[in-house]
Amino acid sequence: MKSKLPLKLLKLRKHYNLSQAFVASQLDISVIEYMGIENGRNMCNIEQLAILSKLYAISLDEMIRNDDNVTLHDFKEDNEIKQDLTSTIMIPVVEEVNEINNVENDDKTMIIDRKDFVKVEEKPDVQNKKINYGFLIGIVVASLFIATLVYSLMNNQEEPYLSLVATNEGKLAASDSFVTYISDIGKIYGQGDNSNGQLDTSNFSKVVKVDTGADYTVILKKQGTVDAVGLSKDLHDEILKWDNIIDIASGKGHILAVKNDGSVKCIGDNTEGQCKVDNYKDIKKVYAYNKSSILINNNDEVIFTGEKEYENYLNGLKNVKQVALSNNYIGILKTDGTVECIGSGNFKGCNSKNLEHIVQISAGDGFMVFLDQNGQVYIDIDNTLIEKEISSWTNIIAIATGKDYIVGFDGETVFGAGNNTYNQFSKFEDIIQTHKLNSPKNLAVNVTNKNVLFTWDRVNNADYYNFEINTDPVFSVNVDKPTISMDSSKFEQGKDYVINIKAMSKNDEYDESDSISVNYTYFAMEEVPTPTPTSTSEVIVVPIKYTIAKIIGENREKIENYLYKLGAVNIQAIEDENVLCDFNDVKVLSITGISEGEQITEEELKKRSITYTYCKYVPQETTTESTTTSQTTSTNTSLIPTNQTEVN
Amino acid sequence: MEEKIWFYENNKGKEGPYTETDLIKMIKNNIIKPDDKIWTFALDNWIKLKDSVYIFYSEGDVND
Repeated sequence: MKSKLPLKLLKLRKHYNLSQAFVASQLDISVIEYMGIENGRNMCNIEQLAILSKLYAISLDEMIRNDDNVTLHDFKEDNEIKQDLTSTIMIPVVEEVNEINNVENDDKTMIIDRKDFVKVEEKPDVQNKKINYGFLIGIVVASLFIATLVYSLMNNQEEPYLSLVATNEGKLAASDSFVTYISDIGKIYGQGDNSNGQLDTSNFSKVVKVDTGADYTVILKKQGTVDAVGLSKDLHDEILKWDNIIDIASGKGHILAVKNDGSVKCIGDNTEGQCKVDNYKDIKKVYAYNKSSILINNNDEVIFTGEKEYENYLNGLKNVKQVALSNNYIGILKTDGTVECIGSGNFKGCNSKNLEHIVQISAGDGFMVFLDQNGQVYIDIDNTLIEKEISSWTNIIAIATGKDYIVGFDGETVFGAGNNTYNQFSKFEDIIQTHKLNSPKNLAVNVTNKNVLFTWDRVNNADYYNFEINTDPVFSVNVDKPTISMDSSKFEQGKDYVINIKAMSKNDEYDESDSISVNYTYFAMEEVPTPTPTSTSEVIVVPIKYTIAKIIGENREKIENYLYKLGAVNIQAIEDENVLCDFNDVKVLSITGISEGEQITEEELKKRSITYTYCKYVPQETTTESTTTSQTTSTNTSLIPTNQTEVN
Repeated sequence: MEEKIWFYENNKGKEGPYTETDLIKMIKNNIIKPDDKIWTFALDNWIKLKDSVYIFYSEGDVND
């Protein structure tokens, strides 16, 4: 469903016979901005809607309603709005005039200058007089027309016919080491190298286009003036004199500007003749790369000046909307939304035959990037990782390239791929992660005679959790709390299972977390559960609460392995010479420090000092029926690896 | 500082106040959906997003 505000505003304005300039002045915006609102490209904020509702004497509720059935007051019957309109119309027109002198508009608003209206402004008590509205408008229009004619003749100027139109492609620019972009409200921001002050743009406002040089940023304001940061003082002083500019572009060291009469200005580096643009007319758009200038005229033809290697391929090309250059690409975006790349000499052709509805292109060293009207970005590059990364970008409104990286702008955030040495951009995935729930952590398993209890830490903003384990059949369940108890009959002794858990949200603002995966070996209560993370993910710390199995009477080697696997490190083994072993089975005789059935965490186990005694093994041929008269103990070699703590 | 003047209501209840910038972001991100209602102090009544001119910011309706 489209906004019907443009239709409503047009209907209201036409009904009251108001100019776009007048309504724009009421909203304290430029005519171009207002034209953008009326043609549906821009949108009002609530304050502006309130002003409009007051201007047209309708309620804000009616103004905000998305239909064009709007109350149109009859002037003859409604003296209030008549008075309101007639009383306000004079002053804003006079005050606003110097902002619209480069504007092409559709309802014969005159091109005027403040000084032409001094007489009108000086009329006393205009607001208090009852004036015939139609007559007044007629007088104003006639005065504007005459004033413009006289002004134009006196100054012998060509009639300006081009408008400054803010475009999305102008909202983002990239050099080899920094990126600049324009926010919704016309402020300008940057990321990356600021060693030359090229990102010190906080003083700029009402910016409609930005471009970058090697180490400077140049901007075009909606008033048609130009400014820059990081630029040498002489060049800066020069561009501050420019006015009535409708487009700008910057190469490495030269700046191009198109005036509203179709002429072109250039300052800066002219070593390749890139600034030889004085004689060209009827230009509506400029692009620049390194030491080259590309001018597009009103017939959509290319005029090129600058580095010779490009010249033969570009001069005279027709039906061209944009040209993008790099060391090894010449990309041409045609007016029908298709793209062609020159595949000759040093230049690579590009795979663009399936691309359509392309609105912008950009080239780097070894790649060409394309943006379509749906905000999708495509790239011609021999790098599948970057290709994959860029394909995940959505709703992009502008693209730009440095020699070895690509950035895309969605109106709020700059995403990038490639070389990010100067931190020119944010990784798309990093930004998206902020809306993804954290993965569950600290899975613990507690085995009882009847149940196996799984618990994990609560995840912020998670409404529930999905728990899955590959029992036979697979068990999968959503649980509100970070715990699930399963009947132990569903598990087989000693069998390995894989547990997957992820945090979920009912709120669209949060995406489900990444699933964590843990291997788990089931042992009945007496045995040892040995969960280990399957992946390299750092999220799983498993403070399993162990239940100590039977030890006394078991084989010494088996028990020592068992304790070692659990994590015990402080184990002392003592041979009891008074008790001889049967055959080769060296059994544990007694143990201190831990007991059968005790539940203990890994951390606790590490701190325990465990001592056990075992029978004395005597090779069979020497085994005699010995008698035990006294117990002597000696510290014996433990089976614990030598890097474990040695206990004396 | 931008004033927090906007509220929205969905099947989970009412949320707000938010600035206009935040409201627009939530519409763009489809957190506020076309059938959800929005309201600000100067309005007499709540209005469904899809019935308001703010549908401009909803996905697919932004003309840029």
